[in-house]
Amino acid sequence: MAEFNTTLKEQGDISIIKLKGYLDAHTAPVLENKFNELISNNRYKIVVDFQDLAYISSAGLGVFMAYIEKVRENQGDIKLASMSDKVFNIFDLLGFPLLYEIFKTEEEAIKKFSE
Amino acid sequence: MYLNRILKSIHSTISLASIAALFIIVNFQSGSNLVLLSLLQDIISIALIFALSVKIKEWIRVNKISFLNLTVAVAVILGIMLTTIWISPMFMDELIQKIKKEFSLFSFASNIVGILYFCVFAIGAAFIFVVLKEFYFSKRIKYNPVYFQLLIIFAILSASSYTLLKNINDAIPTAFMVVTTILIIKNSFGISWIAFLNKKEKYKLLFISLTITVLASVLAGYSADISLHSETLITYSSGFTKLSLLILIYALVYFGVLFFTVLFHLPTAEAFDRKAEEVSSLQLFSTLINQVIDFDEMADTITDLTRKVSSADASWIVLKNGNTYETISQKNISEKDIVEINNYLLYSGECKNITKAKICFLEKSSIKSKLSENLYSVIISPLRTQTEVKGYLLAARKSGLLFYEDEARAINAFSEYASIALENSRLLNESIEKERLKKELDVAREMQRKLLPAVDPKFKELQICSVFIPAFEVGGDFYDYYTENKNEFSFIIGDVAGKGISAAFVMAEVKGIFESLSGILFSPKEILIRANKILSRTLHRKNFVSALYGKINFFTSEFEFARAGHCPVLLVSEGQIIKYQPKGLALGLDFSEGFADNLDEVKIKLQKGDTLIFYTDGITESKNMSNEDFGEGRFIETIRNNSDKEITHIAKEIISEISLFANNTTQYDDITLLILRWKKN
Repeated sequence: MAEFNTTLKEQGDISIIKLKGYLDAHTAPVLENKFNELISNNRYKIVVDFQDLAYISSAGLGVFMAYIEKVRENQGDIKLASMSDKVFNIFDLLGFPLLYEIFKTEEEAIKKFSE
Repeated sequence: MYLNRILKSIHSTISLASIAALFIIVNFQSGSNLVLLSLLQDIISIALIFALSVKIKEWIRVNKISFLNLTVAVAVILGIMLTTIWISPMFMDELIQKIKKEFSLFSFASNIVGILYFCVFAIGAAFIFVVLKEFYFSKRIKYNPVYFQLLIIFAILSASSYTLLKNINDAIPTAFMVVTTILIIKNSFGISWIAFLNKKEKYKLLFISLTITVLASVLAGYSADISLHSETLITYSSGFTKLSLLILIYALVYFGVLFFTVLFHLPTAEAFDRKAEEVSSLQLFSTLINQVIDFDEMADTITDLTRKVSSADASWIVLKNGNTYETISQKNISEKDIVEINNYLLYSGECKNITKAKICFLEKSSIKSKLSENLYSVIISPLRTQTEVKGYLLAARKSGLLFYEDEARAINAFSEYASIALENSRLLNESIEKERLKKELDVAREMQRKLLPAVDPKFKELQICSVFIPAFEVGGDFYDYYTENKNEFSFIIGDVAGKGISAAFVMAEVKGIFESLSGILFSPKEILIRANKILSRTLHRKNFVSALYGKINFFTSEFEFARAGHCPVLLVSEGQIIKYQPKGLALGLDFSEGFADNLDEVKIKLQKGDTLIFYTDGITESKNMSNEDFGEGRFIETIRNNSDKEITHIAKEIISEISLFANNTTQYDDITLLILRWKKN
């Protein structure tokens, strides 16, 4: 089974989740737990870094959908950054760029929060 | 028939016959001192004792009386015998003289009292004899039955020689007596059965054996002296008097030895008890491990036994849960104290990386003052599986008494058993879960199969070919055809995010929605917008659905479609491949007006021989051994190389290319491929 893990970095009130490996129906709960943890700590400004993510399935995309509403209700946002072309295509196909802000780099995403 | 009955209870018959015989002999003997008659009396009384012994032994065996209770019975019987001696002068005054007189009504009545008196002692002696024999033959590592048999032979010899030679020679019976007494002493040593009694029982036994020793010595005194008691018994059988004396001596010696043996065992009794408890609880564990499915239940047993065996005041089990520890069983300790001790020992303290049981002292620690109970020392033992520490078993003692190494070792053994139990229950749960999942997937796959169209429809204007290859875990792909409207062919192809039964349910819902909408609305865009609206009531955000709805008009040769986040459409026209990926969000991502605003509809005029290809991401995301995707490039290349062939052939080529590429790598997602070819000018 493919591996997946996340690392969490905090920069002021912004939380940066770095994804690594394969995000699919089996590994999605790992990311769900991470989001739950952030939300229960009232941290709603979230940047997700896709730099090291090799693959994402539709169930993986579902994780972002499951939390976006709650996060935005609390004046926060989930911003996505550093996607490979392959991962971006999957997001793009489903129309995610219409719902999420996607940035080339993590820094840009963080900067957007501070504006 | 009577004979049968007599044979059946031969020992009772012998007993009763012996008593009757003795009664008759004494009745008519009238004080004569014939030696042969005395010998006959001895033989009869010995037969009586043996017959009674057999009966008593049977009774003990049938009722399974414990050794401790047998000693109590011996004490009681000795007490009865002594009481009988004490109260007998009240109604046995001049008894002997009366019996020995000429046969009369008085002598007859006295004889009845006398025989009853004799019976009390015969039964008592037989009982004590049986008990002593049982003790001799029990739980001996090495014993030689010869010594016991010798003892019986010499006892009989000394009894009969006394009767035969009492007026001639004293030396021979005395010699036999001495030998018998030596054998008695020899047979009284090597008492091992008391080792298996617990401390309380040992105290009880100590008291009883002392009582028996005292009673037996008093009784022996009465039997040896010339008294009303011994005179009465001698009247019936002088040999029996000797025998009962020997039995009393045996009881005296045996229980005397027993008293001291128990006395010396007492200091170690507690340690012995604990060891015995340890052994039996380990045994209990090994049976429990294989029976108990619920680990929590098992954990309760473990904490209980740990507390007993190590005589701890409190014990508890914690299991690792991420970075924290969760208490799953606790005995005699508050949650607050557990938290304090866990914090002290596990998070910061010296017991963080232990591999076996360790004794820790709280006496001088910083947390001592924070505890609500006065806990002095703690044993902590890790619950380890092959690879990691899953939790800890802990036991604590309140008093100033510290734990010892042997207690730590016992708890270590316990924790090892607990680890096995833990691992067992995990493996069991895993296999139950696996089985459940398998069943669930079977249901989901069956559902999916029934939701998909059984056959591809046939038209003269349009060729249709579909391929569906389910993944082991249902991937959520679906497609459907709508042919109710004349001169029109509509279809849907989609993919539900997620897997298994939940995906299958969404699939069923979506199928129903599109089936009804296809009959009411005509524009693919309208249908998708309405479907999104309907789904907003039920669909969870994470189960969004990518879908593509298409419609071909047979009159106008027009193909109309809208794409809700689904894979693009590929049009093969005159050798050229054109990719159509109009704007569109997957269903369920956005329930606002944004969905409609971002959905484009495309209309294409078809030429004869045009081929339309629809698919799901199961094709482009098929993986090979090195985890590479099959990808759009290879997919389009395969189509290009086969574009002039029949559509069934194209489908076949695509699938075979994918399987060639995947080369037995597990297929993680459903594969759906739908190819249409326009045949009309």
